[in-house]
Amino acid sequence: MRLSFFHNEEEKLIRGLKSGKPDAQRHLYDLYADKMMAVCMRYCRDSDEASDVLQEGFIRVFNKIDTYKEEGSLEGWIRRVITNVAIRSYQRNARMHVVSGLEEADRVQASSNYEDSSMAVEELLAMIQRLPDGYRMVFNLYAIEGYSHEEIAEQLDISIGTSKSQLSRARQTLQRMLKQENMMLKNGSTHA
Amino acid sequence: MEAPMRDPQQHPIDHLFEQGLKDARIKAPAKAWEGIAAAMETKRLRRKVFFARMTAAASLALLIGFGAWFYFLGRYPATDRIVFSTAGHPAQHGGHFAPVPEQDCQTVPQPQVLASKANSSYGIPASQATRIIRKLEMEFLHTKRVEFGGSANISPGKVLRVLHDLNPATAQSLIPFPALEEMEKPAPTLQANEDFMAEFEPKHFEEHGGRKHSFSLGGTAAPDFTFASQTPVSLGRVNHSSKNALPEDATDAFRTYTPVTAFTTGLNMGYDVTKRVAVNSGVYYTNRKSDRDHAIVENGQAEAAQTNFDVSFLEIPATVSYKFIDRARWSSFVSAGMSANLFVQYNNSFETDSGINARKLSDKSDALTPAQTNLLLSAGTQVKLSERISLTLEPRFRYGVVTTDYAFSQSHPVSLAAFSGIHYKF
Repeated sequence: MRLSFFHNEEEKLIRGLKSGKPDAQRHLYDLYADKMMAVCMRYCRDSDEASDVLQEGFIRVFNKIDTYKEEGSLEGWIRRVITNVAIRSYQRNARMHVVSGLEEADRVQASSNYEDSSMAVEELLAMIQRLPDGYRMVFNLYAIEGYSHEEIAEQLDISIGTSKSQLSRARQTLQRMLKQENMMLKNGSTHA
Repeated sequence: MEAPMRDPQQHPIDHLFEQGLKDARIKAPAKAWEGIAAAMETKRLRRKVFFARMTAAASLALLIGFGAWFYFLGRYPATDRIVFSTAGHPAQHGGHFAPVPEQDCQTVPQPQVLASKANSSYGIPASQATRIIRKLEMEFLHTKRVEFGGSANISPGKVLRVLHDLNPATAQSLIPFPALEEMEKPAPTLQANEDFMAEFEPKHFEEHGGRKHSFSLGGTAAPDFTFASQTPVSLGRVNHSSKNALPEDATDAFRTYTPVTAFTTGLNMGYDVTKRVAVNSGVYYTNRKSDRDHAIVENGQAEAAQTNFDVSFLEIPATVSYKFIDRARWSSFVSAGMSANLFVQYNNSFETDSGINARKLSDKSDALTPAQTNLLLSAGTQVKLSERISLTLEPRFRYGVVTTDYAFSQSHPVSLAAFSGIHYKF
């Protein structure tokens, strides 16, 4: 009963979205905005950029809702749309950004300003955001979204070899960051 | 309980981050929804403007089609030779009849034909019908001058603004006034709204290099197959009056649905209103000929007869097209509109052998006599050879919705033509 209730609710929501009803759009946003913000934070350099991608992503979701065939889950479809928007944003910005060490430090500082999120999530995100752009995109797509190297190469317009090498370097960098983090924690507990 | 690993071979770093971040939630900033809501509202307003534009374009197409029709109808030459027998219809005499001699035929000026038609069809006195036709014609011409003299750069927003100034209540019922003010503002250039803007806002689209050329001119040619052919009114009346007397096998010979093949060629013009919507016009020339041998049977007497016609006309279409697929190299579209046919040449004749049913009738028209108004429906594909040059294949369906007594008998002509052509964009 509960399951069919939720199915009916979702069908009603999708009908409303396909009719372009503002109430349905607001309801969908309330349901998924926080989850999708976390997705955007993983792909973006800072919370401002993530907020822009979130906006663009939801506008795309509302504009393209007619193409949702209701075969997979609605959340999965929204996640794919947002991920594609994040990739487009990365590709748009790729040529514009030359990241200096100072800017990177600023970003890490800015990204630690979260509300209602656990420390573990915050720390993991901070590490991902400190990765160079290319490493971050490949690591997100491979390790968290589950795309293959072939798919990543096609989406990011890079070779399969580049995708593999960037994943490997991303892992090494993250491992180094985790070691530093553990050392800091140990030092912190010793001092305490 | 820890969730199972997606892949036993999964790298521990991947596993750590996937478990920690896959379903994480981070509170979205409040300003994000404000931006989304503003963009969606803009889209809703632009959709209203889009439909207003489409309505205006469709109205314009109808205005041009019917305007041209009435304009030329009003200029019907008084010297049109429509031949009637002054001796009355032979069937009324209930017996044998002789060929109608030339001196028994008279030329009837067109206004009298219109008036007599109105009188018989609608019960309006002929004199009054003539006055109504003249009055309508004058009103149309007067309106045309006023509108064309005083209008420039009309947009739906401006029309609504004028309407609002004249009649606020009506304007408010169409679109609430704050929305009208929004419509008149320059479009916001949110990056997020780019897809929508590109599709519906030509100026924005031009700025982004997506549509540099709005006007197109091209040549077209089409084999043309007409299911219901043109037959002259006088022959139609003869056929109709004698139909009941015909045996079953002879009736077929008098069907007005006689297929005729022809060839159409001409010029196309187009203007892209948006990336997907265009208004189109042009001038096409078509020549149709038909020579038919058949039988005529009256009062139990059968006889061989020949019907010949040779028709050339100009067709002026006004259509609106919508590209439902728009790729870099090709596009597919549907199109709808009206067209007006004007005779360049119209000759027909009906002749029997010199037996008991013998008669000889012929009609012809002056140039540019209005003949017919068509409803046009088509679907086509355009292949881009270069940025400016493209090839088009467009099967087109025509249905004759308004015909003059002068040109047609009992049927609405129906035709199919496979238009193919080349277009150059300016």
